[in-house]
Amino acid sequence: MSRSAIKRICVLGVTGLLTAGCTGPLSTLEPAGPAAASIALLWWIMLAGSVVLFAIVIGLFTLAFYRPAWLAGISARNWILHGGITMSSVVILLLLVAAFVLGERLVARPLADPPLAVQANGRMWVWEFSYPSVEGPSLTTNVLHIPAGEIVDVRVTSSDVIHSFWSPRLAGKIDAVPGHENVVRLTAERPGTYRGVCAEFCGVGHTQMHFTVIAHPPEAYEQALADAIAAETTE
Amino acid sequence: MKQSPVPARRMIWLVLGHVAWAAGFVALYAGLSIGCEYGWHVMELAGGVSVQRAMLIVLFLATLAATSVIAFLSWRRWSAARTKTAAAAPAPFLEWASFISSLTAVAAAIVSLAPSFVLTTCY
Repeated sequence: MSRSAIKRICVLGVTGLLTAGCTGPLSTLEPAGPAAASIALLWWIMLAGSVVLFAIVIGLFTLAFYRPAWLAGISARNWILHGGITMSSVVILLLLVAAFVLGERLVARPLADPPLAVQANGRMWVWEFSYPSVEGPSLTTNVLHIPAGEIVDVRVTSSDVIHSFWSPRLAGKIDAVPGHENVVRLTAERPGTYRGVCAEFCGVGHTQMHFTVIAHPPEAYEQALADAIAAETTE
Repeated sequence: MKQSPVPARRMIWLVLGHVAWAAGFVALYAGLSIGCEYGWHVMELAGGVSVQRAMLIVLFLATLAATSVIAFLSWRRWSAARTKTAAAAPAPFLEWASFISSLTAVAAAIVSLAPSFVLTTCY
């Protein structure tokens, strides 16, 4: 095998390894709902911005070596003023505006038609989900059942230490704080199974404290939830 | 012991603006949390403005006023130091740096606290 072929294989292998993190059941870059899509969009904006800035800096750096005369007219004061202050201020302000606009989309503000609410309680080291829309006891452990295509408010709390509810393909993280209720609003655009984890270190069982979100077709949701609750009760 | 040519108390002007900004930031952050807990965001004060929003705006304006006053005083100190300095002597660096530092505190107050005018406060 020639040297260039080995080099090519190495480059492709490293690229493959690097991009392997862009997909998978816990990938924020493969959103399955509007909340996760907003977060992913912010990430892409930041990536695009950093690539452009990197290219500008490396371009100037290269010019300084190979065409120093082109840059000789720029005074030290202007380098500091525009390169160090103006450019960074503009970039940070644009990012801030993007983050504010996208962040506002994630806020679970009250709606005229109240969305479906489910309770999520974290305790060492399981997630317990209950469903106020169901009469009587309604508990599912480590599996959250939701209807696909509908807005769902997950009311998150904890009965011991601070945990964090995070299903990366559906929404951002939200802390589960004892004695306090936080709400994360999510929608699964299509029926499917989505994974979630505890995103706040909560003790020796933290890495095992994961859960699954199953989004059912809306017409099959009530029956699927009733079956899941019945199965939990008989266990 | 040899006495320093620059009294230590003059150094405080370097950080004064940012101390005011940090105090305003903490006050606004605490006010936000207290207001959300007591439901001030759903209590209307006047003209559709909630008690929460009004409180945050007042805290922002107070921080802006404090940092601006410090920036103005820093500018005056710098102007006075410049006129006192002999032409051959180096420029009064400490006063200049204090003025620039206090200007960045004003900018920090605007960038980090002015969004209280528009952003959702609770939920």
